[in-house]
Amino acid sequence: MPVQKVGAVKAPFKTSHITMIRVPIEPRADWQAQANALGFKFHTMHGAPYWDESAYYQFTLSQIERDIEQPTQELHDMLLYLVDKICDDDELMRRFAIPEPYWQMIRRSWLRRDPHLYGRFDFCYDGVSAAKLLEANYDTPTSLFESAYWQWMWLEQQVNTGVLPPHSDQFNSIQEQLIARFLHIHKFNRTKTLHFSCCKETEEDKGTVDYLRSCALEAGIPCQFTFIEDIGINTLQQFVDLNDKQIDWCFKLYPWEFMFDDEYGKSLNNMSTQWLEPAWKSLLSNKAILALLWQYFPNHPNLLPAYFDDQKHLLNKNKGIVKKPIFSREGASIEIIKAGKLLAKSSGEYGKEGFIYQAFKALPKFANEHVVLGSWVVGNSPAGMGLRADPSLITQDLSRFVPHIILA
Amino acid sequence: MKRSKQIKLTLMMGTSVGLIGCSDSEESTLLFKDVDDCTSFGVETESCLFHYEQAQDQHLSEAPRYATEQLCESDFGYERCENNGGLWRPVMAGFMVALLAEAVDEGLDAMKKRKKRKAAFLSGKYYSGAKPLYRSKDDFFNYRNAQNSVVASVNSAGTTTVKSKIVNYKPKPSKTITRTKSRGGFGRSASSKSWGG
Repeated sequence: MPVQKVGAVKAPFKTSHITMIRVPIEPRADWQAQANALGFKFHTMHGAPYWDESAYYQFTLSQIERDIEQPTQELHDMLLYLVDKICDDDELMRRFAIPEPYWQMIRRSWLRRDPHLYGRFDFCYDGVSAAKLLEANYDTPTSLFESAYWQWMWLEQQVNTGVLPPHSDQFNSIQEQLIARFLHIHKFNRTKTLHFSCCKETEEDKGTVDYLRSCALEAGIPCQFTFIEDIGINTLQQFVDLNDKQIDWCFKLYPWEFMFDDEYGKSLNNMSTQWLEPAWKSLLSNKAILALLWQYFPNHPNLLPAYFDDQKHLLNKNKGIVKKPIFSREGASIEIIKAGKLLAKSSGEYGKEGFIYQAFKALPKFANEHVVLGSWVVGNSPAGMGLRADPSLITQDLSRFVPHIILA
Repeated sequence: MKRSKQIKLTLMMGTSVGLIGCSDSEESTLLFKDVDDCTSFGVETESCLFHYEQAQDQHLSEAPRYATEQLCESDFGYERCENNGGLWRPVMAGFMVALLAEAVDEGLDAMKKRKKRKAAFLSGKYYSGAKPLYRSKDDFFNYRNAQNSVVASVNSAGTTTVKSKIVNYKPKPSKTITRTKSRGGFGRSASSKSWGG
């Protein structure tokens, strides 16, 4: 359905000065049954609702295109530019806490331009001021199924039952683009089976991997699943699955820095396995990239000031500082300090590799929830977004996923 | 529109671990004893030679290898082994060509009609190339592939349907028998930390 750009041409000024709107809405009566039928088992996690459709957030098309889509493209291009810089510089590799034995492997994967699949930027955005990049999840982003599929279904059904207006839209072509991307990557791996892999006993990760596997199958790729812990090594020094078949092409929902640390890490250098995400992505999921972005693109409208340890005095202590471990995931081990006071702190065991310091920007608050906007990149283009709401200032793995629409 | 036009997808959510997308489908194949057998079926000589040579190449890399003639003959029978490079292999008893059904039909049509007195050229999309066939001592009237799976009877003529995995097996160089040395070298780092993102 076409989206009417009401006033987008005549009065762009006006439309840019309203925030996004939180609109309470009646949840679909049968959504839990539907979720169960699809195998979306993590809709409630640890006993708390994870998918929350009791309200949605409404954006205008210009908010999405000007404030989210375009900056996402720009930031992605900036990241790729920086990969080149880091690969060329031993000192930066060290600052990124990449163990030296893996430098060559990462460089090779970048020089070959090993194809990558997807990533997600987390933005602080209220609908009025420029979206600010909080962090880039470029190695193991999750909440993919909720964004790409489930949120889409929600809109479709709410429109069909007449609850939402028929011209409601959503910034979400993630699935379409994922399948197209898989088709593209398949060209380089025609003869291979793609192994999907994640850790045991993680319902959410298994869900993400299963969803990606569905997309890969749709693109005509032969697929197989092996848990990370079940991967073995054979006498020919190849990674193998539980049937002792070689794993020569593997999607892993498992951070590169963990792989470097693991027992098999030292074997990685000798293996010809093609990884998704490729090794060079380990540079971009690293929080040190935030400091480097600010260094190379100071005062970029979508960046927050961020520094390594030696330059943290440049941040304004009174406005607040966020201390992030270089290898943190899911908002673990983060501290927010404002004027010498600890505002928020999350538990976790990260940090031995060092920290970066980022200027604090409070997440917009709607009805007692702080909203983080996750903007997806598939291949090299922006693909869609998903919102997460959390009562705390730090969005962690227990935050709720909330749907959004584009209207006018 | 800023969203996917449609989202129909066979979801694999929560499906059990295992191979998906690799089915036990059947495939049309042509089985020939030699090049003459192939040309008399109606395929162009050039095409037959090409496939025969391809099978020969595969034969050299895939065929079971034996250190002595005696060992080989105990599996394949008297005078059924050849020496190449100091190793003994069974002789190639035939070759198979897996084809798209259309290609086979085309070939058959050309053979039946013989209008232009022109034989079919099996061009294009055969999946896996030609593969060698063998006949073992104990099961002499069946063709087997290099991985010792029964393909079909030696008397089958024309297109024969066989299980896909028998034709499209991954050729593995013989003599490199692999064994998994260890498992569980990944995943330790995850147990102590939360992650994902």
